[in-house]
Amino acid sequence: MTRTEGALAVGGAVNPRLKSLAVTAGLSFWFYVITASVGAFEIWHLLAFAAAVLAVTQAFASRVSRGLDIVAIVNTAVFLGILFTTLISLYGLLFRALRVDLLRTRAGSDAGTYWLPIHEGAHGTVRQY
Amino acid sequence: MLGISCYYHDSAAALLKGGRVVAAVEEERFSRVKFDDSFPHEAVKWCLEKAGVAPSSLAGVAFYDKPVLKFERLLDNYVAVAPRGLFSFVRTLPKWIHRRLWVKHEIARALSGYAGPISFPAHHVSHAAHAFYTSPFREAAILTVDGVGEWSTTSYGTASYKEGVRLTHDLRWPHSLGMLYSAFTYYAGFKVNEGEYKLMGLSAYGRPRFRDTILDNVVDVGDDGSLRLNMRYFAFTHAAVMTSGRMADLLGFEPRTPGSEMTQDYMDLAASAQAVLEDVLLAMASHVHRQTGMTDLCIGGGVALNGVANYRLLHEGPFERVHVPPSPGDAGSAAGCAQYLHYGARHGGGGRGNGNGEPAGDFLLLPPDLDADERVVENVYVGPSYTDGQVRECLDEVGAPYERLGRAELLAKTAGLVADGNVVGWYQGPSEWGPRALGDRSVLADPRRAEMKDVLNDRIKHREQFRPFAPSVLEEAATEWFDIDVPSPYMLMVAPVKRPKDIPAVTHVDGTARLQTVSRGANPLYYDLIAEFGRQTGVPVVVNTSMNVMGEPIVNTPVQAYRMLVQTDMDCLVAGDCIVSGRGG
Repeated sequence: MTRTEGALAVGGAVNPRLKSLAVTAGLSFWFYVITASVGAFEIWHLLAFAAAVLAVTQAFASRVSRGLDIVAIVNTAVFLGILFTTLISLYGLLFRALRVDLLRTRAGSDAGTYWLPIHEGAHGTVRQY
Repeated sequence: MLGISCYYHDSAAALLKGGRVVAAVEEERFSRVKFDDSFPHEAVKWCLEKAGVAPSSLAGVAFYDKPVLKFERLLDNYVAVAPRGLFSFVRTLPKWIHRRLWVKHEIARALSGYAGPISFPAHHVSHAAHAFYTSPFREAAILTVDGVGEWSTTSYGTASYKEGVRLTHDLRWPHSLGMLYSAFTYYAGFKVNEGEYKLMGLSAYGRPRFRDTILDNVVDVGDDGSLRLNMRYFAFTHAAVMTSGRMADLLGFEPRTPGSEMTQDYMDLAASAQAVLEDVLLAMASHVHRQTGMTDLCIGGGVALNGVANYRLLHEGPFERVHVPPSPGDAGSAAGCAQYLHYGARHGGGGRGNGNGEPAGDFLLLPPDLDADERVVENVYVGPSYTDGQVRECLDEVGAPYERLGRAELLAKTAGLVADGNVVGWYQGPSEWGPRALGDRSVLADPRRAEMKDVLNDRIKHREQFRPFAPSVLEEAATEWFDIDVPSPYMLMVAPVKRPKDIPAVTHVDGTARLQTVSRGANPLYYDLIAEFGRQTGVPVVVNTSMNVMGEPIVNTPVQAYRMLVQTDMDCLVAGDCIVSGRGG
C-alpha cells in the first residue's frame, strides 16, 4: 500500500483510472523487490514493466476495477505483513530486550497509583496529535 | 459550530448556534446501517440544512478526537505485542491508510466553501465537554470512562464556565474499565461496542460469584479506583478476540458462541462483571471527589450508558448530584467537540491555560435564562422532524389510510388504545439525540399487563427474552413509582420499582427499571399523553421502547414508521395528528 493509494481512497469509491495508477505503483514495487533480490534488476526493465501494467490497467480500467481492488488488497496485505515482520517485530524484540514497557503491563506501580498526570499543554486542539 | 464523530461506531454530526445544540443526528438514521461508522455525510448535510447555514458561514469545525495520536498509540501497541499481532496489523492498518488518517481532507471535501480551521480536541475532552455543557452545573468534577480514546481510557478533572474543561489525570491503554466490561460482553456471546447493554440486562439474572476471581487475577484495582489489567488474560491488543485462553482456564468454561444457549455460568459472569464495574466506578468517583473537592459530578464516555452503575454512583457515591449527558458515547462527542470549541477553547484571551494546550480566552457564559429544563429540550429533541402536514403527505404517498384528530382527541384515543392492550407506534416531532427513544420515536404499551413484555418481544422487537423494557413516567410521579429522587430524562438510571406488581411489564427480574422521567417542559405532547393514560388507568407510566426492529436503527421518516407498522404486528401508528391502524384494523 502506497501513500498515493491511500490518498486516492479518500471518500470511499475510487475512480478506476486512479486505482490503476496505485496498482501500477504497487506491482512495480514488487517487480523491483523480486528482480533486485535475484540480481536481475535493470532500470529499463522496471520502466517497461510499469508502462505495460499502466497501459493495460488504464485501457481496461473500468472493466477490471474489481480486479484492481483485489490486487490492491492482496498487495497491501503482503506489504504490511513484510513490514510487520521485518520492522515492527524487530522493534518489539529490541524494546523487550531493553525492558521498555510501552503498555505499562508490569504489575505494581511505583507511585502507588495507576493514575497518570496529563501534562498541561501537551496537546492543543488544532493539531491531530 | 459543527462537530463530527466517525470511523469507529455511531458516526454523527451536531451543529451549535450561540452555544445551543440546534441540530444533531447519527448517520445511521439516514444510512439505515445500525452503528454506522462511515463519514457522516448525510448527517452533516442535514444539520447544515436544518440550521440554514452554508459551510462558508460556519464559525468553526471540530472533530471528536486526534486521529494521528490514536494512530501513534496503535503503532506503539503493535511494537509492544510483536511478534504477536500480525493478522490484526494487516487487517487494521488499511482502514487507517484508506480513511482514518485522512479525516481532515474528508471534512474539507464535505464542507466545500468552508475555509476556517478544523479543530481536534482529544477524545476524552470531547466526552467531558458534552457531559459538562449539557449539565445544569456551573462547575463540576468530570469523570470520563470508555474503551479507549487516543491513549486515555479514563480521565478526570474539573470543568467550569470560567475555566473550561481541565482534565488532569488519566488511565491509559490498554488498562481500561470499558475494555474489561467489553471483554466479558464478548465472553457472554455479545458483540463488542453493541452488546454491553445486553450484558447489563443479563446481570440481573446472575450471582456475582466470579467477582473475587476477577479482582484477584484479571484486574488490579487501587483504592483510588485506578486499575491495571493483567494482559495475560486478554487478547484485544493483538487479536480479533477479546480474551486469551487463560480466561477460560480461570473461569472454567469457554466463551459463549453467539446465539447458543444462555447458561447460568454466563449470567453469573455478567453479574460479576457488572459488580466489578460498579465497584471500580465508585472507587474512582470517591477519588475524584477527594481530588477535586467538587459537590457535583458529570460523567461521560460509553461506560456512562450503564444505568445500573449510574444509579449506584448517585446513591452510594460521594457526590450530591450526578449528571449523565443524553448521549455519553462517541456519537455524543460530535456535540461535545463542538461545545468544547465554542465554550472552552477560544483563543486570544491569554491568562491561564485550560489544561489542554489553549490559552484561557473569553469563555462564554450561558444565558442566565437557560435553565436545566431548556437544556434538556435543546440537547435531546434536535433531530430530523416532520410537520403534521408533511406526515400526512407521506402517508398519502404510500396510500396509508388514517384518521385525523385534534390534539385532545388524539391524546384520549391513543391513551385508550394503550390501556386496551394495543401496541402503539408514537411518531412525533423531532427525533431524539442519543441512543434512546424518549417519546418521539417510540413504541408504547401498557405497563400493567405482564404479558406485554412477551408481546413486544414476539411481535415487534424480536430480541432476547432476558432484556427488559423501559418505562416513561411523569417526572412528578417518579418518586411514587420508583426509588429515585432526581430526574432521569435520558433513560440512563436504573432504579428499584416501588410497586412492581402494578407495572410488571417494565419491572426487571431484579425489581428495577431503566426509567425515563418526562417533564412538560421537555416534551409537552408526550407528557400529556402519559398524563392522559394516568387519568384513564391511575398509572402515569407507559412502556417506552424505541421504534425499530432488532438489527435496524430507529426509524427516521414517517414512511419508515408506516413500514414498521406494516411489517410488524404493531396495532397502530400515531404519526403527527394521524392514527393509522395496523393488521387490517
